[in-house]
Amino acid sequence: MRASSAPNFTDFPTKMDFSLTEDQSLLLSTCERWVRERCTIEIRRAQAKGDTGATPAAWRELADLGLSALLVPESNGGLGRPLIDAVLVAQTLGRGWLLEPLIDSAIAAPSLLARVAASSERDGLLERIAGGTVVVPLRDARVDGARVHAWAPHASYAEAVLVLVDDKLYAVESNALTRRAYRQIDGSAAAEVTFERAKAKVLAQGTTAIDAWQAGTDAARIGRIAEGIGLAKTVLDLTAEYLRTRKQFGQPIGRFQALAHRMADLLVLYEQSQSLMLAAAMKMDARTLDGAQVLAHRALRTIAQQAIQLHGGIGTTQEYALSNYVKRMFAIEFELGNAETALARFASSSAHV
Amino acid sequence: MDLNFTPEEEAFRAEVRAFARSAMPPEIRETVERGEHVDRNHTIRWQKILHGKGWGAPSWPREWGGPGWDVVQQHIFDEEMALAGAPRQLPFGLRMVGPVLMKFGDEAQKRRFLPRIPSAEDWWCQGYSEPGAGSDLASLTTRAERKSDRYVVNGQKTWTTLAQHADWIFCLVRTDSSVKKQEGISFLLIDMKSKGVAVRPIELLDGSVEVNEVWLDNVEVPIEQRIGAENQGWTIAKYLLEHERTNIANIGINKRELERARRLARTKLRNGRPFAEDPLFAARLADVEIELMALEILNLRVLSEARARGAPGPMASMLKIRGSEIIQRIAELIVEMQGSSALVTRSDGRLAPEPAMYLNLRKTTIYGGSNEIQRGIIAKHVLEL
Repeated sequence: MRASSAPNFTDFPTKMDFSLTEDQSLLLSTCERWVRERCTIEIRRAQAKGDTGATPAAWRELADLGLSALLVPESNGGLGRPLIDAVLVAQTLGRGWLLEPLIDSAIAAPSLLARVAASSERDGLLERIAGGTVVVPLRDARVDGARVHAWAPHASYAEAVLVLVDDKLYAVESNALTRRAYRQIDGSAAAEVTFERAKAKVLAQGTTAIDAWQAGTDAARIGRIAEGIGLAKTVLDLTAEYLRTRKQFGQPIGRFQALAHRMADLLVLYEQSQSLMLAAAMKMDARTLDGAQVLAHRALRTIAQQAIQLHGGIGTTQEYALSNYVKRMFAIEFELGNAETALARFASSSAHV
Repeated sequence: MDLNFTPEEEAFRAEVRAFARSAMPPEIRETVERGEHVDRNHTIRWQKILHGKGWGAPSWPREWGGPGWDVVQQHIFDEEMALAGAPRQLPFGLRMVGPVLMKFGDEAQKRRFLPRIPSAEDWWCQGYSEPGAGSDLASLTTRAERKSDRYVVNGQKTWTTLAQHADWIFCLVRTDSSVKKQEGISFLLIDMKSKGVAVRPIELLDGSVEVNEVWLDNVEVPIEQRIGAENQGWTIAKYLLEHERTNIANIGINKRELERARRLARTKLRNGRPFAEDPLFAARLADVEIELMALEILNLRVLSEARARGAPGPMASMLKIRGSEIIQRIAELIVEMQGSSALVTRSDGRLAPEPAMYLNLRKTTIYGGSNEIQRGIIAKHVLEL
C-alpha cells in the first residue's frame, strides 16, 4: 500500500499520445517533479489545515516556477502561453491534490481579463497575477440592495476578486471585501464574500463584459476538468497497486475477474474522458467542452466510488490517502457545476449542428 | 500537440470523398443507408471498383498492390467510405489472411494467393471458432493428420461469417495432441470446393444468414497450403487477432448511424412531437454522441501511438469495447424511433431494417474477442497479474 507515498508517474496507459512540444515537455516535467517532491500526502495534509486567510506557501513556489504567468500576455509581464499548456499543467498538478489557486487565478482570471479592453486597472491586475498575486472570479453573485453577495474557492485570501453583476464586470480589492472564510470538505480554502457595489471598479460592461465572463468560466471549466482527470489517474494508480498487492483466498485480489473487469472499465472511462478533455482544451468550442464536462463528471464520480469499493474497508477510512483524493474529486464536481446542465446544453445545441 | 489533420491529409480526405461520391453505384449506397444487408454481388462489385482505382487493399503495402497509406490515411479512408454509404470491405482476406501471408507465407504462397484478394477473385472466410472453442480458442479439436504430401482434416468450425459465399477458408487445426494445447496447432488454407467440405447456415436473431457451420469430413489439403511451420499456428493466430483489432472502433460506421439517428429524431414523432424535443430521449441521444466524440479522439490517440510505435497495444481493447457498445446504443435509439412499426414483419417473414439491425448488432460485443475478453486484456496489462 502506498498511503504515504507521492503519486507515481508510471505511464500505462495514459502517456500523452499526441506528442508534446519541447516547451510543453519541459514545463510538464517541472510540474511532475514538483508533485513528486512537494505533494506527499503528509505535506498536503498539513497544508490543508493552515490559515484560510493566508496565501498558501506552495503558491509562491508555483509562481516562482512561472505558473501564475502562463496565460498572462507577454505585454503584461506574462509568458503568453496557449490555454492547452495551462490545461496540461492543471492535469499534472491535479495528480498531487491541488490546494492552490491555479485554476481560478492563473487560468480563469487571465482568460477573462484578456477579453477586456486594456486599461490601467486591467493591465495592473494582469501584471499582479503574473507575479503571483491571487485574483479569483466570484461565483453565484446575488444583489441585495447596495451590496453584492457571492462566494468562491480561494476567495478567503485573494487580493482581488472579479465578479459579473447584471452586465457589468467588476474588480474589487480585498480591503473592500467582507469575508466569511472556511475550508471546503476537500481542504481548499474558500469564502463567502460581500461588498458594496459602489466600492467596486467597473472593468467592462455590456456584451464585452458578458463575453469576457464566459471566457473565464469556460477556461475555469476546462482547467478543473483537467485537474480532476489528473487526480483520477492518481486514484487509479493507487487502486491498481492495491489490487496487485492485497491478497485474499491466497492470491492478489486483482486476479478476481469481478474486480479486474471493473478496473478495466474505470480505465476505459478515464481514457475516454481524458481524450475529450484534450480535444476541448485545443478547440474550446462549446459543444466539445460540454461533452468533456459530462464525461468528466461521470469519470470522477465513478472512479472515486469504485476506488473506495475496490479497496474494501481501508477505502472508507480517513487515514488512507484515498480519503483526501476522493473528497477533492467530489469538490471538483460541485465547483464544475453538474452533469445534467451540461448534457442538456449539449442536447439543445445538437438541434443546430 | 495538435488535433488537426495536416493539409496533405485534408486534401487526401477530399480526394477520397469525391471518389466515393462519383464511383458509388446509387443502389449500393441506398441499401447501406437503409441499414439493410449488402449482398454478395454488391460486395464484389464495390470491391472491384475500389481495386480499379488502386484502393482495393487500403491497409496493404505497395509491394502487394496496396496504396501504401499510413494508419491515419487508412482511418480517413475508412471514415469517408462509411459516411458515403460504402459497404464494408470484407476483412477476412484484406485484414486477416493477407497480413498473415505477407508475414508467414513463402514466396509461392504469396504469389498464388495475395493478388487475388484485392481483386475480389477469392472470397475468404475464417475457420477459427469451434463449438467447443470460443473465447478459449486454443482448445480447438479439428484435427489434421499428415498423409505423405497432404493433410486429412476432420472436424467442425462454427460462426464462420459468409462461408456460404467463400472460395477459401483459413483454418486453425490440431496437428499434435500430445503437447500443450497452444503448441499443437497449424494454420491451413482450404479450398471450399474440396471434397468433404459442407456449409450449413445458422440463422441469426434478425433472420439473416451471415454465419455458418463448416463441416470438414476427410478433407484432403495439399501440404503447400500450410502457412508457416507445422505446429506454429498459434503464433500466426495471435498475429492475425492483433491485425483484426486495428480499425476496430468503426468510427466511420458509428458516425454514419449516429447521423441517421439524429435525422430521424428531428422527423419522427412520439406523443405528437419530434423525438429530439423530448428531453429524456434527447439526453440519451446526446449522451451517445458525447461518447462517440470521445471515442473518436481516443481512436486518433491510438492511431498516433500506432504510427509512432507500430502496435496499438491494449488501448485497442478499449476501442473495441466502446465502439461496440456505442453502435448497439445507436441501433437501440433508431429502433425505438420506429414505434410499433418496428414489430411489423413483411409477407415473406422478414423484419424491417431497424429491428433487424438492432437484433443483428447484438453480435458486436461478442465477436472479435468478446468485450469480457478485452477487459481481461486491459486488466492484465495494467495489473501485471
